[in-house]
Amino acid sequence: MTFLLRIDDRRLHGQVLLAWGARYAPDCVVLAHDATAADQRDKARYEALADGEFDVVVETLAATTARLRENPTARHLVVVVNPRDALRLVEAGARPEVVHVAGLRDIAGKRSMTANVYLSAADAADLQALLGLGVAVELRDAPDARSVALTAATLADFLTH
Amino acid sequence: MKSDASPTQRDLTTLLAGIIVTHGDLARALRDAASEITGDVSHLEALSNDGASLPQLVQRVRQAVAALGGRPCIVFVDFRGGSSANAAVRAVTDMPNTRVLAGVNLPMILDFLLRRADHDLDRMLARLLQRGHNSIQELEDH
Repeated sequence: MTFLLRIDDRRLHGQVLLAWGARYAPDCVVLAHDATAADQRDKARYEALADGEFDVVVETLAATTARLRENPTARHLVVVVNPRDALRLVEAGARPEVVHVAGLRDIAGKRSMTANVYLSAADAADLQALLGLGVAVELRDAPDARSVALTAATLADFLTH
Repeated sequence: MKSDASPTQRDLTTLLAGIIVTHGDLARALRDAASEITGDVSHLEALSNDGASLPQLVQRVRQAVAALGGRPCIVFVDFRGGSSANAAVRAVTDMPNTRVLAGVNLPMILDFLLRRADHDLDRMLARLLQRGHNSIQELEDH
């Protein structure tokens, strides 16, 4: 299976649909988010953003796991909204080419790793678990922005300082 | 409301209002540029998505619309699928006198400002769709 996994709590927006849509050229952009999938109106709004270049689908994590398994030759760009959902996908058998930590906003209980990425201790632990499963994880927002590979040591340092 | 009536005949308390919502400073820049050309940018608000989550941006747009006191309104956004557009669409749900138009450009804003006294909301929207498209053209030296 070929897919790019992005962690972005902004869900689907211009950076995903236009920038990464052009650079990664997916067959399908998937927002894997149980809550949005359950909101029929919001689901419909996002799915209406397909413009012929690729499909846009909003579905549950379980449905995405099945989609990736059943369509191994299709090219997917999958967006999840937090590291925990990314870990759940990987633990269910999905193997992304790389995980981009693209956007996690500043809310209570989180500390800044970059201007666009704020992590809680639980977030950092989930990212460490992804690394432990052999998945490459990097800080990466726009396609031409500098990427920073995350390592167990980087996350351990973040947790202790 | 009758379309194509003169400004003196139309109820100017319902003159069309506009809100521009974009990434970065584009909205303010469009408004400022329009002000240099037309002079009157009254009832044209400029909002940025800077620093706002989707719910926060939805709230910003809703507050801007509410501040118009019921005027019919066009929300101009930069591009379909971006956070500005996503917020605008959600903000104006169930607002019958408010519409969202993506792909905002300066000719569109200028036409809106210069012609809004002559058209109601539906006719203005149809006009702007055409004017916005037609403004994109290759230019040659003659």
